[in-house]
Amino acid sequence: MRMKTDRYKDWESKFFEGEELTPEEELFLKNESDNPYFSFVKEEKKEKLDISFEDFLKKTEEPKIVALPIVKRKSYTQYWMAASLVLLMGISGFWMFNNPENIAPQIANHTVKPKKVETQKTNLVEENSKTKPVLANQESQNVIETKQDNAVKELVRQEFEKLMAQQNNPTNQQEKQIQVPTESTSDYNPNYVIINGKPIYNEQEAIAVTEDTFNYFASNVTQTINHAESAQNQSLDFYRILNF
Amino acid sequence: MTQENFQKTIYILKDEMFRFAKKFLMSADEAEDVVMDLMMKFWQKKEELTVVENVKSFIMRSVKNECLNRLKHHEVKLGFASQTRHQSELYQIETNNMREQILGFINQLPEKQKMVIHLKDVEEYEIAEIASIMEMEENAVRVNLMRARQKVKESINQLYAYENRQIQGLGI
Repeated sequence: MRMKTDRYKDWESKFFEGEELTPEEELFLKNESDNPYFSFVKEEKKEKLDISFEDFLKKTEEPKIVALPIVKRKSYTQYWMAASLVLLMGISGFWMFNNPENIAPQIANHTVKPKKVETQKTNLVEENSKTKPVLANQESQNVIETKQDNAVKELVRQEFEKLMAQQNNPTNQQEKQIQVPTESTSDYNPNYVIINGKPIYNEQEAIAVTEDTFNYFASNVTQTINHAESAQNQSLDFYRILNF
Repeated sequence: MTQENFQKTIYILKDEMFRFAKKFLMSADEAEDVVMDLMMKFWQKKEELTVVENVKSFIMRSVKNECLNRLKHHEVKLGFASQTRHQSELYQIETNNMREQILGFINQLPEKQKMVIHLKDVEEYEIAEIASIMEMEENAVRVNLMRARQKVKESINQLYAYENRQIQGLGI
């Protein structure tokens, strides 16, 4: 009995040193040893997973619900929604800025205004506007633009002829002298010059006024210099007095 | 592979797989989940399993890899931490349940030692099989086994010594 106990103690010490024992020796230790480790090992092995093979087969037949793809689909939906929104905004923006229906009235508005002014001034433009009404399409706009250019050229030519006639005719020149001041002073008119805020139409008169102005300016300057010299002399006298 | 073959060669390993997974994850529910997931995968690829030489080692290796993957998951990590804390508390509380005490000693071992001692002493695998499952050298398996058993023995001896001191202190 004692020999048996010594032998299994020897096996036990070998076991815990990590040495390999024969299957019989290990079996003996597990069944006979009083070390709680071996009883623990026996109990551990009794732990089982209670799922029968039939239950497992039923599980294999069940459709597996995976949550991850749903999340993925949701993200894709959001992505497509955002993309379509951007696309719609792009198309609408392009349509708004490049719509021919919007451009035509804008051109018409720009072209109508100068025509109204011209109709007041010249008969030629009136004739042009009477013959062809303003249309909100580009073909008519081109025709109108060329006619307007011609009208402007004609106006400039007429204005030039009038000026030439005024220079030759002194009676008309007098009339102009009376009429011009009523016109706006901001517009440039080659028929007169403005001296001291007053328009002067006669060249000789303008030269005389300019000479008078310069003379007056020169006399003022001379007077100022004389005053300054007297003041300087006074200050020198003052310094001399102080030095004494 | 027929249903019967699958049941006899692979499904029969479910208990070993469960115990092994439980050693890793410290949770019976997680271990059960791992086993059922792997069984599903094996069932879907049962024809490919016929080519594998050592099916038992392959399956246990699959359990180890799956458990390690799950351990990377944050929640499992937290569960593992709380379970470890629970085990250490159990150790401190001084229970009389020797099985729980030894389980606590084994759970405190480094991971490789814990797996090697479980596969050798509980599942009774050969050293070569353990080396295959754990993807280690046989000598490394032996060293890990020796160290694990020594630590468990020392812990048990310390526990006995502590209980003896308690008994002597009480004057029994």
